[in-house]
Parts: sequence; C-alpha cells; structure tokens
Amino acid sequence: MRFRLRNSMKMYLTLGMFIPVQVLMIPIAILVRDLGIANTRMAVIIPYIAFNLSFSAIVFTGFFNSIPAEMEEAACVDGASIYRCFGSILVPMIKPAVATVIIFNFLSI
Amino acid sequence: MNRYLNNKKAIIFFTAPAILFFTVMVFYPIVQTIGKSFTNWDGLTQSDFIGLQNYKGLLKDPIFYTAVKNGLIFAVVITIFQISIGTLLALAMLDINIKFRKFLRISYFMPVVLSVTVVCQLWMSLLNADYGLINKLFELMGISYHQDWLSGSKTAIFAVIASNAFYLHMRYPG
Repeated sequence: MRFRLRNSMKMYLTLGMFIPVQVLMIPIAILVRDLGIANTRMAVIIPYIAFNLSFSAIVFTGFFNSIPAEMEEAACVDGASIYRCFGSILVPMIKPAVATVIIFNFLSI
Repeated sequence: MNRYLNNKKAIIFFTAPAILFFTVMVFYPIVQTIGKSFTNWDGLTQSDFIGLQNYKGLLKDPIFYTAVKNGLIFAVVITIFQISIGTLLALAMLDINIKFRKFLRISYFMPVVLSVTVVCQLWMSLLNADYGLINKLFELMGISYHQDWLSGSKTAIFAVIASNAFYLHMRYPG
C-alpha cells in the first residue's frame, strides 16, 4: 500500500518500542479503570496487545517489503480485490514472519 | 495499478485498528504522563499545576545521580559482556570439531524459554550469602572471598548485571 502518511505511521508505531512500560503503568491503570474493564482478563490482554504491537508491526513491515511488487501486480491483473490479494497471496507468503511474531509475543509475556 | 494500491477504504481498513489501539493504550498514556509531570498529583487527590517544580527537585536529588550512574554502568557492562561472551559462545557452537554442538545450541536458548521468575529465583539462590553456590565455590577453593553479593553496596550492581546478562533476551517493552 502506498500513501502519504506511510512513513510517519511507521515512526509512530516505532515510538512504542522506546517507552519503558513502567512510565505508562499508572496512566494505564487509570485508563483501564475508566474503560470499565478493571479486574477482568481484558485489563491485562489489551495493554499487552498494544505494547507488542510496535515490535510485531516492524517485523511484518520488513517481511512485506521483501515481497516483490510483481506479486501484487499479478494478483491485480488476475482480478483479485485488494483484500483477496492480501488474504490469499501476501499472508501465505509471510508465514515465517507470523511464526516468529507468535513465538516472540508468547515468550515476552 | 496505482488506483489498486491507493484504495482509501483498504488503507483505512488495514491501518485503523492498529493505530487506534496504539493511540489509546500507548500514546495517550505517554501524553498523560508528561502532563502529570507538571503537577503535584499524589495519585488520589486533585492535582495543581506546579510547572517545572518536579524537575527542579529531581536535579537536586542525590539519589537521581546515583540512579543515572548505576544505569550507565548497567548499560555499558551488559553490552560489553553480552557481545563478547555471545560472540565466543557462537564461535564455539560453529566449530565443527566440537562434538556436542546440538547440546550447546539447546543450552544457549534455555534461559530465553525460562520465565523471569524462575531465573530470578535461580540467581537468588546462587548469590545467597550463607548457602549460595558462588560463596561455597570460593570456600571449596580455599579462598576467603566470602561476600554478601546481593546486599553489598559495591557488589549488588554486578550481581544484577550478571543475572541480567545470563537472561540473554531481547527485552522490548511488554
């Protein structure tokens, strides 16, 4: 996908890797309470998803960039929609990245 | 082709969930932390804006400088040790003449799979002053180098560094 905010979006997600969790603990505790999910499993799951998001996004960006653009072009020429192209061509091609991210996120918890 | 990749709906569909999640759970707390750092909030009561008072107090606090010094020691020593020992261990593993290469590979990866709590307990029992393995080893060799590793003012930082270096794990936030 090509759009204007692509690089700034990537930088924005990378920002999450440089923030120590301890800095965010108190605001997150308040946020979780205000969202009404305190004392449930979601109160742990959702912050963990958000923290691991930046690392996962960086890994996936690297892998998606390594796929040649001709793959998407071929899918486009053959009449696949962009969602079909993503689901049937790009995701099967980055199965190794999916495995890596699953292992890393599982271990980091 | 360009229209295919510039599909606005698809861009929003693919990026919005992640950006929304990240903004709410990471970026918003960062902003709130910075905002709260200018107030005298104690966690419970109402807060008043006090400007840069907290930062001034921080610069006057001698504990802050100790913390910075320890942080720098930690970062430098851990980088040197992890890179040098890691390189040596990797070279040992790559040497074809060594028989138990598979065992080495498994044993290197073991600390990563262990949970943090297990590693901490392990190192606490190793570094214990009375019955710890390291003190017992010195005793066995006949050297009187008996130390309280974890509570000595000079040795504690290095005990922490050693246990952290053992846990060769990329710790990113999370």
